[in-house]
Amino acid sequence: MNGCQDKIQQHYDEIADIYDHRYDMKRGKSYYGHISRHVMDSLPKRRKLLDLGCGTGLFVQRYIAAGGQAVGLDISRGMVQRACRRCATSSFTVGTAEVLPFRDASFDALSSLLAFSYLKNPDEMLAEAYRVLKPGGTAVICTLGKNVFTSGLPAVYQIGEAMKIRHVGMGAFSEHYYSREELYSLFSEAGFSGIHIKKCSFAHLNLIDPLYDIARKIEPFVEQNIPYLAYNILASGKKPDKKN
Amino acid sequence: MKRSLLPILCCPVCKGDLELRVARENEEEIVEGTLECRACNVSYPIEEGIPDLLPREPDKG
Repeated sequence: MNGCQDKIQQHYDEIADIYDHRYDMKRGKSYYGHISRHVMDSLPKRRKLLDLGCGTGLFVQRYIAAGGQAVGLDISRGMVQRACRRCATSSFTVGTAEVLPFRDASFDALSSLLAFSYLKNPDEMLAEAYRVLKPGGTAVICTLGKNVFTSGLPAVYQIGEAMKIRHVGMGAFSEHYYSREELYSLFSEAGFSGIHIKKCSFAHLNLIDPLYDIARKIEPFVEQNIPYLAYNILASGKKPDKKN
Repeated sequence: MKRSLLPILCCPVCKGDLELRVARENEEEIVEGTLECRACNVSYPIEEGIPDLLPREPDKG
């Protein structure tokens, strides 16, 4: 593994105990729930899903609650241990999304929430996603989008790391903030068709309370009318059906 | 690791078959064991029920 992967693995192993406090309680739950709904809307339901960067299994839990089956993969063992406890009927493995340990055409659907931006080789991850999907299968990725707010974040995270702040996602991981064009071209080069890109979530949970509440209220308007202000970006694409 | 996962697993590096060796298993899952890729000469461990399929260096000897 490269240095940055080691760093990400170590970070998530270290914060596994506080991760759910961020994404599975109150405001975090509302933020994560909002993103999850966008991803769910783009996925086929009640099928077999692979979730890459599954964390503590929050999205796997939602997908199986809606009647599907799911397998989760994460680079952090600490995260996978929690995912196994959360979803006892699903399977999880430690691994990297860029080199998948699954046979060709094993899944109907593939998801990845808030992990894609940390990959060093996003093109390899999408090539692997394409390989493990069955023909006609769908991949949906939600990650960090490029906008006026997120452009300053890498600097904030570098300062946070220098100050040794223990905070989920607070580290200088050389994360990448994607534009529509970049994601479209990555999906297209991997072979996906029917590619859709949309911006989602304006209210980010790092906002201070009064701002968060206001941001939540205007979120639907922003997503609909001024998407360039949205914090996250969602891309979906289909592996073409076999030619007859 | 549940046995139901096995049919879709392969070596992350060469995508070849993995051979399961079980050291301990209960009613639900394989608790301790290895998944071996003969082509790469690599053993991927299963510990506390969790397989670790991160690419790694070949076994010595």
